[in-house]
Amino acid sequence: MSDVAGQTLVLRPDVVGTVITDGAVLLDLETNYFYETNATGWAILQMFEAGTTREHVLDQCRRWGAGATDADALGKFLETVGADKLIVPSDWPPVTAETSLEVTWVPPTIQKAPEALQRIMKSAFDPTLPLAE
Amino acid sequence: METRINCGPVVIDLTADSALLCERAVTELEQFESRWAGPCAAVRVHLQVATEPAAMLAGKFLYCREMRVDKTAGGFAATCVSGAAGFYDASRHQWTLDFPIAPKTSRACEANVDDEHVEDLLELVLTTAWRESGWVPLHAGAVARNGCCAILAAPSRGGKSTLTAALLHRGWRTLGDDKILIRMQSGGAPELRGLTTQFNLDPRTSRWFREVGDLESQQPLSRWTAKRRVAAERIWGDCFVAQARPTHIVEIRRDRDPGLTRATPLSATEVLSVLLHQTVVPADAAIAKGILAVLAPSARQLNGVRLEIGEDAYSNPKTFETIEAMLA
Repeated sequence: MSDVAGQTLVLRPDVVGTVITDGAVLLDLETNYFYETNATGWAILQMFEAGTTREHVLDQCRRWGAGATDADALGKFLETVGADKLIVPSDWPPVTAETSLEVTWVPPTIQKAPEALQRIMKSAFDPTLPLAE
Repeated sequence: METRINCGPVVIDLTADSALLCERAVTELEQFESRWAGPCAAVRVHLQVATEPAAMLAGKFLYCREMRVDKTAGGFAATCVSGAAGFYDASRHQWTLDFPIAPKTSRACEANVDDEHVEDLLELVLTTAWRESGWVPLHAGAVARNGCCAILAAPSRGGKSTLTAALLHRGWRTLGDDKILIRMQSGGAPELRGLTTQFNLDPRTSRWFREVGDLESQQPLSRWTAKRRVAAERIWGDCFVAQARPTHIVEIRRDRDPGLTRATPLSATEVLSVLLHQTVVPADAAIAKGILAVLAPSARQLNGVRLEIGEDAYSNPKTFETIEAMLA
């Protein structure tokens, strides 16, 4: 991920997500990997959906309750979403409005699935290539 | 030629330029024939003979072994390696399927149309229509008994039909052995529905479950498989349930140890992975988001089990105890 200060970063449009009880599931349609993130991670990613800066995210997290001990988890989260290019630099003006967190602050987590979904399908119904008979 | 076939939540209004093309399409669609109560979305499908094979598309929307699908301004376009093609006008819910005459033969008639690509294109028609109706197709089996409903997940030829047969043998009921639909109900609970009452069984199944009978005398399904298509109700009687709320998912893994039966729990992440691997996710953000919105919350409500099973495990009665204990 670009570390240029003040650079707007956005969630790629071909990264789709859905909310579940304990956070959200994301699917990267470019790589076919999926990710699970907790509610705090999802709240951060929603800031990137609108387009914002790393600095604003860190500042917002402090307002949500992040302390010094959360710096490693926060840094690791941002490193993962940047390294896997779930968020990318954009020319959009950054959105820096304050947003609310619907849950109690906990450090963000994101877990990448060990195995990507299939890229070549047997058919429109069957995602698997058959095992040898 | 025209006919109407109910395929679960959708109705296919089929027309064709020839009786033979119509017959082939009906043969494919009949395996999904299932009349559901309530309103159904109608999709029109017209089959015609093409004079020229279509050039292969890039497959940016969907890339299958023998078919590629791209989005168009008004819907989809699909091509198969045989030169067969399909075009979907989403605004009219209408597909046009073109089948070229095989060029290598002098018999210029539609008898030379490749059956597998009739199947490929019609499965594209159906999966598109089911998703538009809010249902996600799962390439999985499902069994149910006493409030327990287990999705049986494995790749093709991975043991879904045999495990389904094993549990029917024990008095369970089923929604199907490898083609089911799932959706999220308004209350937040997932719902499974079955589509087909035909099973694709390996003739060896009768070694463990004698009620299956001799399947060797029947024609194999295709040149790719030894399986035979059988009507499950002819073997197990009233063995189908129309719908169920899934409670478990079983990931079937074949093992080289012929007698092995081992069940181990799956983590929440593994359950999600197994479920997502049983459906086709096209490279389209809106459609993928819709699939994820059904499968991700469903996965959180399922107990997951990995069942490692050997080639001859079903000959051991203790295998059934292990399987039923994991679904308790």
